[in-house]
Amino acid sequence: MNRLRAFLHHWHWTLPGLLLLALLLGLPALMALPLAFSDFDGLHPPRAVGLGNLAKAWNDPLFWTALGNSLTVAAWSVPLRLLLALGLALLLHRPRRGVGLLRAAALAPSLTPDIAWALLWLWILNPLYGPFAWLLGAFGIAPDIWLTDAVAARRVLALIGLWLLGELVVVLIAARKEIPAELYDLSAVEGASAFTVFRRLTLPMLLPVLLLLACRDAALSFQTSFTPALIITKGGPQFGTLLLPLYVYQNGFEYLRFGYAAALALAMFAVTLLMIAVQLFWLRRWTRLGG
Amino acid sequence: MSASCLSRAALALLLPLSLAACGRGGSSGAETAAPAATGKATVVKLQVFGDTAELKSYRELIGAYEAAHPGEKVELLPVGKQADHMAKLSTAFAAGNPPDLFILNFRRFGQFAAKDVLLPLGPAMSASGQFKEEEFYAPAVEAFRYREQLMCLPQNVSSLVIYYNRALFKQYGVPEPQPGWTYFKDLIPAARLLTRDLDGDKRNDIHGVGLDPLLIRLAPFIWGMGGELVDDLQAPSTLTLDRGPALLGLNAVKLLISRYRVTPRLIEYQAENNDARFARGALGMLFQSRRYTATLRELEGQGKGLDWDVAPLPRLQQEVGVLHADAYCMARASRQPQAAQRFVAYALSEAGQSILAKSGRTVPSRKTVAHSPAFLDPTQKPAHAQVFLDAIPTLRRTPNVAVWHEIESKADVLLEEWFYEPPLPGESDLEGADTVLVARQIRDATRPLLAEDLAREQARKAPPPAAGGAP
Repeated sequence: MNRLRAFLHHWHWTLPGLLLLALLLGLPALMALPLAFSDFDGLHPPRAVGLGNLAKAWNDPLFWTALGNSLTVAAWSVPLRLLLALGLALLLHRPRRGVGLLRAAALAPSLTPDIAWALLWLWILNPLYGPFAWLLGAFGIAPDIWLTDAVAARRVLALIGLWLLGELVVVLIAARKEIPAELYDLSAVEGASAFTVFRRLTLPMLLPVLLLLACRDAALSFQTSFTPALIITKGGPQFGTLLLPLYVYQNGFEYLRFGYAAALALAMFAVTLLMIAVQLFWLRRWTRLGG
Repeated sequence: MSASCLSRAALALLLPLSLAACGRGGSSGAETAAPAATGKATVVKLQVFGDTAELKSYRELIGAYEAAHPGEKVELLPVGKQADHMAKLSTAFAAGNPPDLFILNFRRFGQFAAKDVLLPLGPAMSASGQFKEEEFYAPAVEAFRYREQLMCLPQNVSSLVIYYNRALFKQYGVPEPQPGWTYFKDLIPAARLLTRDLDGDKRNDIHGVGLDPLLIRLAPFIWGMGGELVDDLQAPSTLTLDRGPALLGLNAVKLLISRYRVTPRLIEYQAENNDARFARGALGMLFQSRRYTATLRELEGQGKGLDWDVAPLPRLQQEVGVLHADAYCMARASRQPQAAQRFVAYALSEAGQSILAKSGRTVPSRKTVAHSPAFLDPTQKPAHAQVFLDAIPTLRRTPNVAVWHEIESKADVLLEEWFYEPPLPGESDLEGADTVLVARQIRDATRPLLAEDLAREQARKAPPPAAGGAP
């Protein structure tokens, strides 16, 4: 009984959220798993095809293009977003006049519906009439190729994703506040420079949280890149921003290949796990070495 | 729960859609009793796509139907874009809860027809005398025939025409398009005269012509030069854009940008699409279908109107047009098949078709309405609406295969890149080495899809194995 009470004491705040996640995400994901091994068009009962869909993905050049694009966007956006969030958290963790407003500004893009900010970016990035083009024009730079060149368009998607850092900032502010003030006082007495304090105290203390956020962000980057890829670049130019979630969507909802789309989603899940495993391995090793 | 239901449940949870349909099974079952007997209104769900002007005309149509049929209701499920309309339809089917009726474009209809989820409306409504095929234009009817059955009933028989800005033509002294005008001798010179850099910044402010580099837009050029899109319209096994006459057609299009520079460049196209550019008055001519008329009339209503008209497609070697038709389709799983058919019968009647025709959105598929003032209203633009009717005998269409939409999606990405890229180094625009390259790329990228479709069809046609097996 005591154990149950202790369990509930620890978990009662998170349990409703976890249950909802399990019901709305975990359960459908599990139920979609068999679809990955079937030929299912949504109109007829599924027909088992074993590993046929995965074999098809293996031989599908567009799958590899989409995977490469997704990894490139994630490789740009995840570290940059963490870095930016960390910087903002360190700037905004102290209570000062107006800091609440700045924190709200940092959080706001994460609370805005995806479609709204994607449309806003579509206007901002308009190569002739958008403010970005106007700004560059003021410096004598001609409207360039950010949406007409595949490499540039991928970078644009990564940059757009940078603004979705509100939750990271909130978590990092909370984590920074947890670091005992005495440690900073001690560092001041020892005459440590600001950089040394950051490197020897703040960063190691925040590392577990950063590690967790990096894993979460890597997984999330595959999801959050869907809307801008659909609305802003539409997968183009030249399949340059055809990201995995968009390819899954096209196969499932445009071409009625739900079975194949589920297989692609499964592959995406596997890649996400792999990315997280690599990050964990690398960061743990770095921690052990005293980095 | 069956495997089918489990899968649907998974999709329904993912989407998230109702699971209620799973318990119901997929079939239509007995229709609700007639409204008069039960005292309850019969509700037919109709899913359509279109902009605000188009949706307004559907609402008018439904209002008129409900007024003429007390006790019957049609619930409109409007969707803004065709792609979203298709996504919503596919998820509704997957969840076992499709709308009773929906509009399908003929290029997407094969996707559903091949899956046998449509109730063939032609035979059903012909038998009850609600539909007489001969009263409708044949190209539109034929586009919705699948495996020799008329699956959906066409609401319109539109085609690609040239919208032109009359004010710009007058301002720059360019002769307006005349019947029988040609691509090389008339359209291109006109486009060159219309293309203007007004402020001397070495960027054109007015472009002569706008053409979206999509397969469906390029098809009349390919046919016009004597080429073909596919090797066999009924059972295509490959695209044939890489064959001589088709290449000539593609090259003819590319000249607009590579040699004459009368069409917006990629950066301009991305900044503002051709429809918006024309509506702004910065495009002399635009290749578009009838749907665009409703948009232009809506702009006129807002005081932003242009002085515009339509002209037939210019002739290349052959006079040919490309069909743009949509039809009412009914889900086999409809719970109100009779009421749904009554609505379709009304929508295709003279009264119903006149309502949509007046909105400007459609070229009526019913011949009498197409020739009536509802469509040829001399007080409404375009002044030469007859152009749409004159084009009907020349219309050709794309194949009705399940994978056609996917083929177009893949081809369009490659065509856009080809159209806006300069010719390959060392090649002139007339040699068209890049055109050969893209045609082959498209052929190779789409061949597996057609092979898959052919194999499916052949498996369907193959006789079932004899009982007892082979000796």
